[in-house]
Amino acid sequence: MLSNASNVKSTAKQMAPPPVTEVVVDELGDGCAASFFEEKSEVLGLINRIATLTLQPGELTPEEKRILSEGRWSRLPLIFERYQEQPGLLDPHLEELVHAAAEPLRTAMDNVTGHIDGLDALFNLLYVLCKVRGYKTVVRFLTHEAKDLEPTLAQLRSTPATPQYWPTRYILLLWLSLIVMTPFDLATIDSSLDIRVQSSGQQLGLVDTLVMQGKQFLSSTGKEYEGAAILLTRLLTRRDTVETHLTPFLNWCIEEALRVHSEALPMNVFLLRGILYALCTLYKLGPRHLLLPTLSKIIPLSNTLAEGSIATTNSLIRKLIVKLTQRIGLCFLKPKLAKWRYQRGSRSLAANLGRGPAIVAQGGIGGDDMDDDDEIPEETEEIIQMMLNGLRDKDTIVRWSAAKGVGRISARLPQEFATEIVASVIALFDEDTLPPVAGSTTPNLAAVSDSTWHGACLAVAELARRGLLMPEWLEKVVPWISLALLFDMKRGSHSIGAHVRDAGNYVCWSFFRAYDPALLLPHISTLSKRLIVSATLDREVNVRRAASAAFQEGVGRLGGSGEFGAVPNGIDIVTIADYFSVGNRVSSVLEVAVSLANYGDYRTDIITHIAQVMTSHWDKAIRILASQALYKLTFIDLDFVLNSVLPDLIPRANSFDLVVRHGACLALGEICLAWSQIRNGSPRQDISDKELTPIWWTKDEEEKIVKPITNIIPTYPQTLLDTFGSDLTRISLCHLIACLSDANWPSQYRVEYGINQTVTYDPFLVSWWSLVHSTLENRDESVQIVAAKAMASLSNYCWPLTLPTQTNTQTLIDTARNSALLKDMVDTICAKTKFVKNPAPTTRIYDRFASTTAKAQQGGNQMVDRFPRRGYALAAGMVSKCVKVVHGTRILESLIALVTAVEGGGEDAEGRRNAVSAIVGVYVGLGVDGICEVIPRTLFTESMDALFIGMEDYSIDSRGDVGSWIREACFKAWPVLLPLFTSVNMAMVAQGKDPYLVPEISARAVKVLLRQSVEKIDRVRESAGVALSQVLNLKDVNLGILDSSRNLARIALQESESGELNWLNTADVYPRMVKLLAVDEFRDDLMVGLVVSVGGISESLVRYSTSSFVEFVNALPLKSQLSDTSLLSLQTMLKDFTALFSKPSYIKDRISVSLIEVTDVLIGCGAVARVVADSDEWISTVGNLFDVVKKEVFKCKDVKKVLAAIKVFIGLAALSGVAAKSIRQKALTQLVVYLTHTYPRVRRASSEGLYIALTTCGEEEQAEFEEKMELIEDVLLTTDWDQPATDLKEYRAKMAEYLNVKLPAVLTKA
Amino acid sequence: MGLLSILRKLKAREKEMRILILGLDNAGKTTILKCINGEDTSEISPTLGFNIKTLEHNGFKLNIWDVGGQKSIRSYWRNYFEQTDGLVWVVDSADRPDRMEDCRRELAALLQEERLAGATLLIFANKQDLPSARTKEQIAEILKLADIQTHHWHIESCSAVTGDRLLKGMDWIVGDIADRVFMLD
Ligand SMILES: Nc1nc2c(ncn2[C@@H]2O[C@H](COP(=O)(O)OP(=O)(O)O)[C@@H](O)[C@H]2O)c(=O)[nH]1
Ligand SMILES: [Mg+2]
Repeated sequence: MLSNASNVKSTAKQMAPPPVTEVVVDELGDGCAASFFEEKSEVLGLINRIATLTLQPGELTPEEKRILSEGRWSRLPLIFERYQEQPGLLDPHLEELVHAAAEPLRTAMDNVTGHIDGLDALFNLLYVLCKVRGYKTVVRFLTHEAKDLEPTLAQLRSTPATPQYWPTRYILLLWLSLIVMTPFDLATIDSSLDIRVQSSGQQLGLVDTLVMQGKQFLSSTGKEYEGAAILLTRLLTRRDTVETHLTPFLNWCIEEALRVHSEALPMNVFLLRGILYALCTLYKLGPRHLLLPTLSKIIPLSNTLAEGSIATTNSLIRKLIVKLTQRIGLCFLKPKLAKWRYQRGSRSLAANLGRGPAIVAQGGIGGDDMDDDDEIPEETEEIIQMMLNGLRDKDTIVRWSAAKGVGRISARLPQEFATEIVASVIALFDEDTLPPVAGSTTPNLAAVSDSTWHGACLAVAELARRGLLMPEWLEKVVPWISLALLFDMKRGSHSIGAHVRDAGNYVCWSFFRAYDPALLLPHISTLSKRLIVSATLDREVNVRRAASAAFQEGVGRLGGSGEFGAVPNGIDIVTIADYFSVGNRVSSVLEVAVSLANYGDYRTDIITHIAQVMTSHWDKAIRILASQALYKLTFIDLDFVLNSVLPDLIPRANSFDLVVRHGACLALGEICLAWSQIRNGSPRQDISDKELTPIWWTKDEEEKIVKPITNIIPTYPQTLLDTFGSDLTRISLCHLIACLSDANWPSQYRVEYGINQTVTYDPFLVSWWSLVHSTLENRDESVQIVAAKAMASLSNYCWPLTLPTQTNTQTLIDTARNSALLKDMVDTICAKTKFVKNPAPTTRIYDRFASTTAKAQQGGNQMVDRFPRRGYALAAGMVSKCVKVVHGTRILESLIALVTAVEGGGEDAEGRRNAVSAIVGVYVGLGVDGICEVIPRTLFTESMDALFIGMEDYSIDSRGDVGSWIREACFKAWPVLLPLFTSVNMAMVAQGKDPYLVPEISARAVKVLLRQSVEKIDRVRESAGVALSQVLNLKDVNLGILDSSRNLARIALQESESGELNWLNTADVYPRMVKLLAVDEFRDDLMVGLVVSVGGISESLVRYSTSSFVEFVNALPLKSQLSDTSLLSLQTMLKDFTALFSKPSYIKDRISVSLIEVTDVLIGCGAVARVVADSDEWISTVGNLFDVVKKEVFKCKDVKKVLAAIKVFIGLAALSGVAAKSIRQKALTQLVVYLTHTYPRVRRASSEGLYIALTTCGEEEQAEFEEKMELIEDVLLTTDWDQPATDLKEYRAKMAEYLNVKLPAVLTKA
Repeated sequence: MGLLSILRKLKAREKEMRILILGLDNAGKTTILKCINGEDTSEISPTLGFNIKTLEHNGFKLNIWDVGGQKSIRSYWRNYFEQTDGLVWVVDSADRPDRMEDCRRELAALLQEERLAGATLLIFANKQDLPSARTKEQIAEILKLADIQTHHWHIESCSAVTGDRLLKGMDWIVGDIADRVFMLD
């Protein structure tokens, strides 16, 4: 029920208000008189039924009684909760609803004394209405006849004190609070209701009783305290009670509150809460003249309480104290609107149209002139101090309450006084600020309190909204607010301040609404820039949306069309950065902010914020986003980025702060890449011809930018690469290397020219290479991936196939061929990917950056070595084409060796997975021409074999089927390689050579994919299936299978009605795939795959695979039809199935148990019986099946397997018919033999099995043993099969005798 | 308690409404806004952008948005601080027939928008002072107003130049929003 309820609630939230159900067009032009409250009649019906139940229980059907007593009325609250967001929709019906519930309650309370069970449903309904619509609105519709007072009170007193009835008590208290407002003297209503306080026997009057009840409920834990507070307020502010009862009550409050305060017992917090709430209500609703004399008592109370331990730990109590203080303050001051307040002057629509009073209000008009003479009580100062303190509170609810207090109280004060308040509020921003840090003009906020800033913002907004922040203050306050918009304080590994930024935006929004546009003009430029930064670049969606709204308001109020509006290009920007577009953080930064940077007015602020703030943001995702944004922004303003952003970023690249250096390196890389692309793509006009060399950078840039960036890595502090955070550092540096390489970074000697020349290359390259190599050996895969990408780019940078200065490809290839650096790299790849137990320490040209751990590993053992192996395998497929052309065969050989490594068997699945992908990478990188040129046929064949071996990798370790990673990598290879090699074939044939890819390879790939597309692991099945359908749909690729087979397979895999075939959905996959068993060339592989699923683990898998399989088998005709021999028959199917038992062991070992289980399925579904019954002709097939199963468990130690076989034997032993006799005998014999099996479980299972077989076989067969059945049962059921096997031989012999089976000679001899 | 829940409460207490004035360009949106804002309507340049005006009416504070003839008005449907309570759809009653068809289509598309569900809709059949103006009945038929099931709607004929019946229309929309959103005290 509970979960159900929350469901309904959440869907209701998303729902728009219910649509109009009926539209009555009564008069043209008045389209819609219908109700938006569509469940109204249902609700009224339910209310009536509840009322009937309670008042005339006899008239309900038993079903209704049951429903109601079970509390199923709880549907009612659910209906109303739908309206929580837009309660106004209920308003037109509220009166009717409240009456419908209240009238039966009144009748019941009038007529029955004592608690009436069942009424709670109606009270609960009223409570829900209060909750949805607010109690004030609902209560007004309750009845308020004086004569109801006593029955209502009586009902309250008789309601049990159990928690379930709290809504009843709450509503009764509210109801009483309405009734006690009766204008009649309460004394006249006070009947002889004789309520005595039991202990004293003293008689209490009606008022006393009510007060007593109220006090009692003030300490309730539930919502009753609110009802009680309202009741007490209404009661004690009556003219006939105030004199006598108010002061005693206040005294009681003070006394109790102080007691709780001094005792500080946690359980008394509720009483304190109730008292404070009551006082707040009293000072809000009570008449001022009655309350004024009591103020002096209450002020000290709130002061004292504020200091107490309860207040410090309980924010609700603090909020109530602040609220009470505010109410006291307001009570001191005459209610009025300050005549001095600023008003923009809101015009009256009716007046403007000439039909109403004149302009409603304008600046400086209103109030009366006597105001200033009013005396301001001295307590005011103290009260205001408490409000200001409340603004600093650590809890939002307290700060908000204080902000409202500041606003309300200021409105009643003379201007000088209010000005002081405003100054104090603004001074809060300054609290704890430090002098600006060097190079900055804004104060340093490192030590300020975010709570204080938030509170100050709320107060400023509140003051502005009420016209109490005079325009003169704007100049002072705007600078603070613009700081608040970007407020962000680091706190360890994260930061705080989103609430301050949110509130800052709210202040801006309020300003735009409150002030005349002319007053805001001086500030709009500052604010709009900050707002745009906030709207597009803030990490939090609520802040972005708040800023977008504030900006919109600014444009709407101040005007913002064209370049020279108050807000330049405001309207365009409003449309670009709206509520919707800033909703997604990534697109807000990369799309919205970037497109706004095209507007000159905002460009600098956006770029600067990203470069300075976001690149060192605590959230890694933001830093990455910042670097991506800078890439795009460089295209918008290269000059600015080069001159103003880069100089700042470069020194940060090796900052001691991990966050700073990570962000800086990423950003530097992206910027440089963009820079190079801009210059190479579109040489700019303003670089004079002299400077415009093939080189894309200027001399000046070379000195100022290129050199320092080139030097970052060669001079990088080693500690930063080894210690905590080094992974992230390495990622960012590898990214930098990749970007600079892709940028074709300036260098003098990047390649070694000519043959037999001395080795010359820029020294920085050694550092770069060293970093990439050492990072490839990292233990973390995500780090390795970045390093591998860096190797890809860097190898292409060092050994490209084209260069602006050198277009002869052959020269470049020759250079690479003679490069010692390259040879060293390839040697390393080959050595590292090798699977050796104890690799010898290697020496390399570059080992400066080998991390100390990696150095320690050198010469280490196999376990440590796997990380480098994985890394290098990953990178091997990604090196540049030139490298592949020169050293491709060597690399390929190593990769093949790794995939097929016999040694170590299932070890290091990741390494082999990466190697498989790398093989594909090498081929793809070489392309058709490269393959033709460098890959010999034998190597090609070996690589294909490697892929097939990979497809059979079922390695298992503690993480499960890790071989599946390798298989998946192989699946993905085929859709890529088959078309590639088809093209290679064509090129070969054109050159008069034999093709590489023979149809057998393709066919084999298809079949293995088929097999795995019905296997048990969902994920594997999906990747095999996806690859399979890609392969089947390849155009112009010969798959080596019949066209008809290919078509059938394609049809089976086609989109279903429910959209694309979902390989994860077993209910969808198996019925389709099983049909393909009918295709001769698929059957074998498909069966191998299916067998595993049918004998699988997950329930739904077994269910769908088995049922589809059985359905298919049962639909097969027994024999092949003469008319269509191609049609699959059951006999053939069974024969082919039997043949699976003779698969090579690398396949069969894995599926052997499943095969036996599926045999049982075939027997169980009657397929075997169908064949046997037909004729003797096929009996040998079934006989074979018995033989292969028997062979499978011969000398088998795997109990699970033997037990599976026993099931098969049972099934065969129970076959009927003359033809099956020999098989039956064989099976029975086997079961009898197992009676003395080494494992007791097997012995037990076969004895049970014998019993089952003998009792379930056909009548004729049973007749054979009829006379001996008693003896047989005796042996089978009474023997203890757990005793030693040797002692059981006698029983076995007996069974053999009874059943007339011949035991094998070996057994009888022994 | 987040800022938004604070603002929601505040809005209910302050009796504020947000009303968008929409319609094809040249329908008279800006003229209507100026007229009800008591400004001179004799000289109106085509609106490039948008304008927010605050007016007082029957104790309510109306924030009226004229978002002009922009390509995308989606941006104004809602923002972080406010939802749209009412739509004023202005029609040039003397417009060409093909423009009337555009007008119908645009309005229908607008009302599909989920974010505007529940907003009250007032249609002003403007420029009634022109001799060629269609009656509001004719406009209602062309715009197929009777088909609208999703919004409270009402059509009023008016002239922004003379100011005729503008008040009546505004009375209706404010009253309807008040009935929906605020309990009348
Ligand atoms: N005759 C007449 N002209 C109007 C009326 N309302 C607006 N116009 C004119 O129609 C033109 C377009 O008005 P405008 O308010 O700019 O339309 P908007 O594009 O919808 O904002 C202007 O020339 C107005 O003077 C009207 O009620 N009667
Ligand atoms: Mg306009």
